Amino acid sequence: MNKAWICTPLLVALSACQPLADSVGVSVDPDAIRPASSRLSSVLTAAAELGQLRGELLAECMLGEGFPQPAEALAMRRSVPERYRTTALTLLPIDFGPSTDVEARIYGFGGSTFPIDAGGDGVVVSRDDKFDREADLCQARIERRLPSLSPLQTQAAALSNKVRAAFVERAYPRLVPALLDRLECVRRKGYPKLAPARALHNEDMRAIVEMAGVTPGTPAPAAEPPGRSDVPIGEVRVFPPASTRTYTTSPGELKLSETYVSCAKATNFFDKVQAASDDARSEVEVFHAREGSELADELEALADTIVRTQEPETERQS
Amino acid sequence: MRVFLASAGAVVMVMAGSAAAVADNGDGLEGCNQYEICFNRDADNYRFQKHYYGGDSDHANNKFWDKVNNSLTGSLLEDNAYHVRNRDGSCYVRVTDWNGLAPSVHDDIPNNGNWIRLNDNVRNQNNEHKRCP
Repeated sequence: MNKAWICTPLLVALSACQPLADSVGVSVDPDAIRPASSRLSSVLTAAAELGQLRGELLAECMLGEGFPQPAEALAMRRSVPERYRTTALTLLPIDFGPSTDVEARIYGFGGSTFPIDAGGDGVVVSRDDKFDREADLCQARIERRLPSLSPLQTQAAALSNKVRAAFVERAYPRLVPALLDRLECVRRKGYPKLAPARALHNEDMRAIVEMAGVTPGTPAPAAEPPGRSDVPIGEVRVFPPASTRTYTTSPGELKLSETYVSCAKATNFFDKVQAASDDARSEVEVFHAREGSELADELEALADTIVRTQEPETERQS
Repeated sequence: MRVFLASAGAVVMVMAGSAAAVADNGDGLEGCNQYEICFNRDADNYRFQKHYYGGDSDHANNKFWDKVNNSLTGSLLEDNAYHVRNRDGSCYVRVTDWNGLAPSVHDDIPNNGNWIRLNDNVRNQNNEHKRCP
């Protein structure tokens, strides 16, 4: 069996990666793609598990061929906290800038997208031709065993993307008055240069801070993702998932962010976001109900197929 | 589109990297391999690509690689990608266009290894991509 390694960028630089424990396992869970209900949001949540399911199938196959690295990458999964997890039919409080005093302090405006970006599985980087060939063979085996998986992934992602676009298109216009109220509240509390209508059309959060007459803070440089050159030829390594990028708020941005948070409370902003989201979600769910129902049936059928094709292997092992 | 100015730290980091790492966070010269996330610039050819292992929360200053001449181009990835091919083992990839105080729009790209055209609302509007959304 090939030895698996865990590497942080620093350890790579020092050529001192740690060998991982020998006991690596994978469990393939087809039930994860069964929708909990027939609601579109529930179907899309289940469909989003197709990527993980493929990863489990691939890791299982690779493990059988003596390559534990994909399984190790799965085991490193770091989930994003629920309040920062965006689905097709949700809007997060932080989507509109800092939403709590803690977020005001840690992320200000300029880093408010950072907590959404963290998490994921470990990253596999290969410079081993044998590993790459085996991964290709395993993917081909998955396609033969489950010919509907790949088209279903494409179909489900296309529906999810279409639904997200329709949801935002319906929710946002309803939120504009609430956003303008919140920004007007900030303007009246000591930021006369802030022009609410113009701020809404600015795509750069730090420019909004500048518009208010405040010097923005500083984002840490985006961490360079691991690359092929980080791994010696002939080896495969597994890197941890991305950490949350950090942001240093300036004193002025902190004060502005805290005012922005207090104005959300003063104008009932989050209740209005909730109401607009609920209305838009209901409309989109009705509009795309048939596509959701068809996708749900196909997900159930795929899960059934996986269960059926798993049984003989289980019997052989016992 | 969202713009961050590169800090001095970022510049030093890039200069210290190898030529391949600067050109491509994936493997630099070859095709879109297993575990890579690959962006393609044009609608009608696959000549200009940018490959990654992993996500990147800031596409600013990342440039496409010319696969014919094996050279780094001046063509920026941010707001210029047409297709994405996701060969990640277990993760969907989310390509996002941040919109300031308006909700972000995004496209999720499945990890089935197919080249997939980005939807109109994200095509030529990308700011970043993340794994396992």
